Amino acid sequence: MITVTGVMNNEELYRLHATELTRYATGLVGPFDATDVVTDACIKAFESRNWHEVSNRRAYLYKTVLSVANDHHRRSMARRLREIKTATPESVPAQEIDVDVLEAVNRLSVQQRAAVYLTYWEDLTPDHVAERMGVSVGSVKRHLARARKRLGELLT
Amino acid sequence: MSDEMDRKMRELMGRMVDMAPEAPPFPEEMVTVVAAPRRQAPRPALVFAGAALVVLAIALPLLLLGGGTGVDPAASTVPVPIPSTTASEDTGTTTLPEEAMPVTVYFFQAPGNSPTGGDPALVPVATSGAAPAGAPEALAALRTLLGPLVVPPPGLETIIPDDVAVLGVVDGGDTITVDMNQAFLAGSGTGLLGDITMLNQLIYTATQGNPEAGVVFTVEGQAPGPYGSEGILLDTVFARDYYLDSVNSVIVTTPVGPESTEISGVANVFEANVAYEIRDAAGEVVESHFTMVACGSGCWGSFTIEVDPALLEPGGEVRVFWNSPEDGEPSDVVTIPIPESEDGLWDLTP
Repeated sequence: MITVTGVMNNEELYRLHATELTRYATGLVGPFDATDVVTDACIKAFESRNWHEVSNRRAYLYKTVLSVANDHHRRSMARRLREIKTATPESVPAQEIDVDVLEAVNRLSVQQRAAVYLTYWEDLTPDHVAERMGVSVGSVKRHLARARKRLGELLT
Repeated sequence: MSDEMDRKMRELMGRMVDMAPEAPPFPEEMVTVVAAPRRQAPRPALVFAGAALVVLAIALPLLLLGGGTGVDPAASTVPVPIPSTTASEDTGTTTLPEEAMPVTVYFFQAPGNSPTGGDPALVPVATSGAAPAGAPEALAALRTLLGPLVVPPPGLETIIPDDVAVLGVVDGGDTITVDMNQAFLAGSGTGLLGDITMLNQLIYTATQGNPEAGVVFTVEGQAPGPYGSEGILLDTVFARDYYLDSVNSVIVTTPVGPESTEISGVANVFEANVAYEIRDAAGEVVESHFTMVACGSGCWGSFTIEVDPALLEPGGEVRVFWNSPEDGEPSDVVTIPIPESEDGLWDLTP
């Protein structure tokens, strides 16, 4: 297999996208575990057998973050929420935690969070959300509809 | 979906992102391998020269390895053995499993070809494509568009001859390099306008994931010769706006399905006024309205039509056009058929 080579190595690629991936991971698993998810996802992607054949690496990293976040499981955010409610001030992470928001987002599946994040934060069209998530447009619309239904009572 | 709900969802995500921690540092255990280049903003001559160098860098080792003229250039861009040929097997290319994905392909609406009328236009159609895992979506879309057995939806056709095939795609971010077979250079076989329409079909389909990207064409891994009936030179970067004025004053860029909520595109129309009609499966108009284009007369601007999915009946269609100031008649009518499948994807198989 011949690979197109260029000037950007993994570290440069990582620096370019780490911040946006961390924001995305925060939307998926919350702020406590976002960095772990990003790190795990990048290691998984960079060590993947197919990595050197991937053309759109940014899209691939997004998909891997979603995959790792799925494995991470939503119960982790619920556990973290319980911890934070009983935490002492010094054990709270440096960034300010908005418990109400976390509780609202915790009602959603990881896939629903991804659809909501990409639609409402990144302002992507359903087509592009579908591409970023690696699912069909119909699935994206179903995720959004269910997310709106679940959050409807809280947000209205 | 109400605007208020949208605003609150946006605010919720904003508050979520506000809690995002600093990005973690690059871990030591990450393996360093060479990544594909991410190009800066395209400068046509440089980009083409760069693409040519990439092609050369790819082709030379293959030739040295003894592939000779039997080498499949697809192997040099992404691992794309073309199913209908055996060339890639000869080179020992590893075949990756195919990955299905939703894609948008652009067909051609010939004059009067639509059941309810229509002018020459590009029409986007959502369907399912497939490409090797990790390959650019543009490859899946182009393979679908150029499939020898593809059957366009009613009223649409492809102007691209059956023997034209895509051999590989390199998605470089700002520039997408599309490697075609030799048959591509013959063009549409229908004259200059057809040749340009064929290029537009390919360019719009290749850039479905990144409408701002430019497209560089190569032929079997080499810089292409003259193209089509008039010998168009392809030594430049083609973007969606390259032949903007050549087909229609209204270009729709979002396919329509039963669950669509928006129809977007660009137009250059009188008084920036784009009209649309939604018709049910029986051809009856169920909604007729207009929207404004972002730029006034004499210039191209974007537009977005918000539609109620409840009105989008499978088997129906949406017509987008502008009204002529001379006689008030619809002009540059683009007719977009609505698929009957629940997922909004057209089945383009025979």
